Amino acid sequence: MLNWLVSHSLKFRGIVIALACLIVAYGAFVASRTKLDVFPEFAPPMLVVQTEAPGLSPEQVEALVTRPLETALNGTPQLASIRSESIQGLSAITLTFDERADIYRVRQMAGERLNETAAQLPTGVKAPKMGPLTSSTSLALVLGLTSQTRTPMELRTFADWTLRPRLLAVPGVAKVDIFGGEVRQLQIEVKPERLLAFNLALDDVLAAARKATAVRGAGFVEDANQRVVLRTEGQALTPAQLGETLVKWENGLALKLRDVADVREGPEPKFGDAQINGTNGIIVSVHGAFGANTLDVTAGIERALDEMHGGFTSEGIALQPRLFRPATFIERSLEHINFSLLLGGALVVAVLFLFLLDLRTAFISFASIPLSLLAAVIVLDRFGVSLNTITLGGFAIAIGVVVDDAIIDVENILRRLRENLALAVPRPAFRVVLDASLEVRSAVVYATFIVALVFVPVLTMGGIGGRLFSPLAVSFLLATLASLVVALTVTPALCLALLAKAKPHREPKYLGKLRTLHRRALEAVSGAPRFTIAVVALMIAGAAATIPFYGGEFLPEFREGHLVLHQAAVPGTSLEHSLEMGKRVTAELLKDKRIVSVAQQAGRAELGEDTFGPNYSEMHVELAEMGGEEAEMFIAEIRKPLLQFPGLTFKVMPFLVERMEETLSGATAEIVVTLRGEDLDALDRAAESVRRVMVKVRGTADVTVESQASAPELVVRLRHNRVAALGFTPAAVLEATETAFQGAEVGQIFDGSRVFDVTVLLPAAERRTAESVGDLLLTSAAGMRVPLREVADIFLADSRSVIVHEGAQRRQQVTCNAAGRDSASLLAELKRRVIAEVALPSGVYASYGGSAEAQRSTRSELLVHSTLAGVGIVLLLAIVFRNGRNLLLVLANVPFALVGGALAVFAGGGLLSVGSLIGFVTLFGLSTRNSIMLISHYDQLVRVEGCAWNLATALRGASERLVPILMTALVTALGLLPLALGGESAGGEIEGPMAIVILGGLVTSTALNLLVLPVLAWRWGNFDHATQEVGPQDHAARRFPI
Amino acid sequence: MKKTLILVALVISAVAGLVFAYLEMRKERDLEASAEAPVIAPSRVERGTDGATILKLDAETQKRLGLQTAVPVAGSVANELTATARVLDGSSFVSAVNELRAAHAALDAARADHERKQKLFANGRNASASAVEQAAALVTQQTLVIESAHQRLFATWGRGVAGHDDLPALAQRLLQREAALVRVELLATDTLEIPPATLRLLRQSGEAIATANVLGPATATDSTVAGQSFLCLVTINASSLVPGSALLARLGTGVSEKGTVLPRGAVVRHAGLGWAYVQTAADTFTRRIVPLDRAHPDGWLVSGEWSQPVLISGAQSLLSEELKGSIQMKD
Repeated sequence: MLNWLVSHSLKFRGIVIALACLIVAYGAFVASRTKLDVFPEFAPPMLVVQTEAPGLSPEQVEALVTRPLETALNGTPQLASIRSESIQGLSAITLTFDERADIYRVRQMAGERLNETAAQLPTGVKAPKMGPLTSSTSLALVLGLTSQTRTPMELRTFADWTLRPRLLAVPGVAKVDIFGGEVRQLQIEVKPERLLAFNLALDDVLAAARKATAVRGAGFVEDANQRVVLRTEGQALTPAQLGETLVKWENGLALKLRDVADVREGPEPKFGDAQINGTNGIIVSVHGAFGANTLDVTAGIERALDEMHGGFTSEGIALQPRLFRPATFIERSLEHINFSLLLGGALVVAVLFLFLLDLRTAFISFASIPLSLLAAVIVLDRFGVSLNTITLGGFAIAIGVVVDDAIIDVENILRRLRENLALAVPRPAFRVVLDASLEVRSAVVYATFIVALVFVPVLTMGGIGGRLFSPLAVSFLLATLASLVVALTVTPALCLALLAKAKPHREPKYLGKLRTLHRRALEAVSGAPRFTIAVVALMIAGAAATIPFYGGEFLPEFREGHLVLHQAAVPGTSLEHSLEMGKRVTAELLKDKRIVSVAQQAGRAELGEDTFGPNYSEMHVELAEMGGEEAEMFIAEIRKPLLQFPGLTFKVMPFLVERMEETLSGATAEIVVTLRGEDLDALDRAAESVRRVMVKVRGTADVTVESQASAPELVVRLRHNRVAALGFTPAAVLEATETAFQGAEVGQIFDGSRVFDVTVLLPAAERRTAESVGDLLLTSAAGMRVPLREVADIFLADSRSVIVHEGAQRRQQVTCNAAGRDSASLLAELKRRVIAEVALPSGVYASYGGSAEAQRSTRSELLVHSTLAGVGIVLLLAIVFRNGRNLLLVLANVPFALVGGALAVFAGGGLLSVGSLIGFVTLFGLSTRNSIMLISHYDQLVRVEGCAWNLATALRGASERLVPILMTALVTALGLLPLALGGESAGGEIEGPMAIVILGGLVTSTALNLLVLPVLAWRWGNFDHATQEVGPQDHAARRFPI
Repeated sequence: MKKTLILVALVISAVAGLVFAYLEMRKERDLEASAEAPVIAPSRVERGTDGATILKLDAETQKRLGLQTAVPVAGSVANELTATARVLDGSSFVSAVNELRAAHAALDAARADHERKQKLFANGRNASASAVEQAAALVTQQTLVIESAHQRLFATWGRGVAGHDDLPALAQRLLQREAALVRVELLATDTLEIPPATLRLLRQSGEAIATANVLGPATATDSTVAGQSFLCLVTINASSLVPGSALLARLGTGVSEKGTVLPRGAVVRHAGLGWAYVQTAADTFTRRIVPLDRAHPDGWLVSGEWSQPVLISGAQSLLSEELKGSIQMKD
């Protein structure tokens, strides 16, 4: 098959070259339009259901809203986990589905279940809403609005009714969250004394208010000629108009709403607010839809804002368009990676020219890079995979393999052409090129498959690591496979077209000198093989000795130029206090000129992603552009001013880390003991018991009980006998209380396209003190009037500020990390001791998990897949060599090849990230390729050229492989050098460590292939001399059954 | 030998270089790792010498947090009940008084007639005995009419009004709106054992209008209120009171409480109680219970010793510092 492919490519070389040009052009076109992002989609299929329950306490939300919805949603197919939080006024349920679930299908199924259940929710609870479909890094832009002349209400009205619709119309925008300002309401603030004086009940006011404004259609009137549409306009649009609403007639006089209440515009009760650089303002967060291109969406939003520029000015509103712009990091990262690729490519060309001293050969070798990479881009785009730092990183590390394929071909063809010219009767160039290609191709095909198998564990990695890094493996493999096809088709065609007629140049003199030096070194090493092996073994032992000093890190610090700062006070803290403290923290932070802006979002927004209470704020801290080193140190430096604020706890992290932590559901500690049950107090007691056992177990550290923070609560508990005795019904009392303090929505007014609620409630001054609740005057059906304290016990208590469910059950967690022992044995001992020493209350049961468990499962998975890949590799090697000793020679190469990488990790602080691990995987593939090529070349010399297997042959073979091995190593190294050096820059955080490991490993692997492996092969290799003389092409066909 | 030495030196240098690089990079990594931990300021909570929990904050930190203190001032709360009041229509009272006067006039006439007829009968029998008896009966009848009128007046208006010294003058003043009668009604659940002598009348807006003298219990009340009612007389600014007006009344219960007023902003709630932070030293604060059962227009009235400055702004910061351990950072 190989024979057929290469020979037909040579025969139709014009067509092949033309097709290659077409692919390059089309690939460039696709690359210019493909989706660009910073990371691949790393969140599993997820769905968030939020239900607003105005005025309900966390316990009420849990009982009346969360539980029925969880029950309904719990049976959704492909559901992996269900978690919920019930806070004051809100239920938030997060459903995580299996990785292979179709997000559209599961949304539809969940939506059907929600529809069925929504009708069962109590009156006053709003309909459950599914969050829009967004990606894991959906935030496209955060912008701010401030004004010197507009009130907070006007600003918010503008944001809600002018800005938001315009932004939602931008293609790719999924939702727009708005914080801050005041949501306009028409408020009917009832004066209880006036009700008393006029003998009215609250219900009278509610009834009148409900009829105060309405929109009704009146149909049409038609005669023989025309149909005339009737339009009625009866809305009371202003407070003055609303105040004219009749409540009742008394003694021939009309009693109006304005007689018993103050009717005015007022703000809706807030559960969130915003400040920009310490000033009240509006923060608008725009989120992109699932699958949308962040750069395109951002450009669309910015265009829309430009179009609205005049509107902002005329409204007296100042726009701050870049409080946070994720696209900047994407642009910088991609710019950096592209620059690295281009620079690497330029260095590759330089190396090629240096070794080949011929532009044509350098061009042929280099041409494989854009051709292979762009072909891979076409395939990726076809499958909807974005170009991001991960996929581009895969391309970067594939450069070495890609160009190596070409170099092997070109170098061998060039050498055979040179030899052919020296023959008395030179053979046709066609045959020479064909034979030269086939001579090396088969081994490379197997070597490529081996590299592919090496990446199988990365491809099959589960969890967030797999979702993040398997695109790297995919892009690497696509590029490698593409380069294989190129090496079988385009490279031979180009060689025949450009080199056949030209006279091959002589090898540069410096290469000759290099060969001489290499030979001398080889002779020296071969003179002391045992010593050589001892040195190798020592180096391996030295590298192994550094392993205990390694630490793990899932992800590096990203240089996004933006930080997310969480600020938390104790639950129960008011929005006002959170803002006041936020203002002070902001002032302190802005003293550092490297901080450009600080935008605080206190509490939450309606249907927002975060379900924070008023005590919790998220701040977007935008930074000035900084160098890598400075940016690296900045997160540590920003902590200093924050440490000066007692009473507050902060957390600082880059935006992407914050997004990933949100996606990593559940606790992130190594060991997590989860207690489930119905009684929260029993759960707390059980947790404390478990904690006491945990601290006594050897090897535990950071033992923590999940905090069940409480907040002050004023309980109004009806005295039912008194309620009945005074002629009230419980529902009437509760409704009156709700109306007074939460407000009762009695209708809407439609002002053009704007809709505003009309609400009846007590005046703000009477809702300021919790203890004045008891003074609320109630009126029974019989007209009896009493204050609330007469029918209810009213007292202060502490209550849960949030109730968390996991798997639709209340839960509490106790966590710890392992210190000084492995987490598996620690977990086993903990389980044993908890069972033996902790008497769990009735109804409470425990389960065990944590990141250690997840890692153990991942490791098992990795081990299985690595073992399978390893077996596959051994089988392939067996097919290549059909010789156990040669196979073992190649495998023995691996540890030494990895020594350099291990030492590079050690020198970098011993931090083993997933990027570094992938570097090792790549290194394994690259060094195995070179080893296979060397051993295959020896086989070629003995079997085909009839050389005797001895030291001279070993030296000759090694010498002949010197240039391609050096070229490959240099090309790979130089291709990766910009990435390694740019590890501190934006976008280079993951590829940098990867490149460093590969660079370090290349040093030892190249030394191994050039100096050690020839000697080992001479001593222990098995190269049988074939008795039959066969031509190279026949030999190739016989040996490699492809 | 020389080559071996050079080789050994190179190897040692390489190893040393690796170790040095490791140590330097490790420091950087550790710094980065520590940057990921939550930022929590050192605790300011300590145990005082008496075992009580205190918070220590220097002046700079107090300024940074915006803490403000003030010494609470003395104050009092005059316990008052709020009631509804309605200005009564005095015309029925005037009619009743006029009816009484007419009855008195009729009685006078009847008496005079009786006396005259008695004299005539005694002198020469120009008046018959039956005429004298009729005259006597008329006197009796008129007396009963007066009694009945008085009783109606009492029944309708109560002793406080009906027992007034100069009913005609009162009626005249009511007619000319120089005075006004007001019925004040307490809530069913409020009771006054001894009504005050005076009360304040206010408009619905809270604007004070007049002071009224409490005349006594009212003889009728609104069934929907079912509480104590009083009749009151307004003699100043009476002209501004229109019959039928619904007003508010404030009645002192006779009990006035004195104490110290803690501003509303000083109070935080925790563990079912109210608390305030007292500054016991320039850099020391202690939390103290505040009973929340006596509201004051400016805050809360408390008893006991409150001579030290109290935190009037930023108390929540200190409570948050004490309970910092319960703060859960979200992922």
